[in-house]
Amino acid sequence: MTGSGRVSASRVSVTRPGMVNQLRARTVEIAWLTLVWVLLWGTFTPVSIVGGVLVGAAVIAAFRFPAPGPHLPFRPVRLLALGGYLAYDMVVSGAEVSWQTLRHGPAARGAVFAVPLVSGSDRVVAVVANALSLSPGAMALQIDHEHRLWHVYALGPRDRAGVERSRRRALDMQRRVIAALGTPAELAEVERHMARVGSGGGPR
Amino acid sequence: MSTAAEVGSAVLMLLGALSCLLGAIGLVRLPDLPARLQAATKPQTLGLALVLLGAALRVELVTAATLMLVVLFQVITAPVVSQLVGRAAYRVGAVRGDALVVDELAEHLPHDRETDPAGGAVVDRDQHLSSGSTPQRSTAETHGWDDGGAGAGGRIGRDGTS
Repeated sequence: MTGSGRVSASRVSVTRPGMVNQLRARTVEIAWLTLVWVLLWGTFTPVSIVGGVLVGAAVIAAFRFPAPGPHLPFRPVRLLALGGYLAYDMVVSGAEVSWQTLRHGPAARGAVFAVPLVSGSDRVVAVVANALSLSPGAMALQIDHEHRLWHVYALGPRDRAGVERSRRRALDMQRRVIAALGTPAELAEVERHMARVGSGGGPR
Repeated sequence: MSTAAEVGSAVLMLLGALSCLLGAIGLVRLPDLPARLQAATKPQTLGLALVLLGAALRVELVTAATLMLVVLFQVITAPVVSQLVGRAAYRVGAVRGDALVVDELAEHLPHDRETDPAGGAVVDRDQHLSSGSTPQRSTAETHGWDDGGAGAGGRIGRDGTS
């Protein structure tokens, strides 16, 4: 299957270079599904691996995945750093929501605020939304592509300064994801946003 | 199995159970739906991860890998659910205005809110309007944005209560 696919890809690539991208994306998807399958079975045998490839290919064929966009850069170190930060953030997040529960309970307050949306890539946006929803007390409420804004809910802020802190945090999460997956232009842009929010932040 | 792993596993499981308990208390005590969603996702996810991590220390490697897969899926799926429920709740007006310090989304979706949260709850409504009407020229131009309101997110802090 991969053999014939590669031949057709190289043939078509003269007119449609997107085909190579697409083939690569499909291969990565099937590899990922195979890994999940093998881990679910808990046995690293040829049968489970071949079964995983077959099931993965069947799933990809049965469900229409969105066409892969431009190829995401692969930066293993930054990706690992992001993963580590997310794990750390999850601990902080759990502790902070628990603290809000115990300290304020029914009197806890939240805020819905806007954050500039920097990336245009659906996959990066999806990762940021997911990462954001892991960060302390926050979740993405609405993604406004038209105005390039996120609307984020956060539990915890009790005044303006608190809202600005949460906004900085949301921007910082976006920066970390874009550092791992985005383009240098997007990274520069999100850093500009951060500088502005940071300098104009609290009342001090 | 060494005593250290034994103790580590027990500590992780107890911490995880405590986190789940706090999440459950949050479900009861927090004031409105989005706040309760936080309690249902954050401490619960952390609690499950800690319990499974503790369990993973006690079993062989392959089984531990499966347990970590469970953690991964919990981490991937919980935010999706909370986002969908939170968004639906906001649109039908189940988000209490008096539990919000700021609501900048109300400006963008005025017709989507059944219950108008005006009357002191939305402290920044005017501020937001004034700052939103001065879009950030630089980014809007370089990226060819529709600049209506695009500057609100970055600007509002500067125009804040200083």
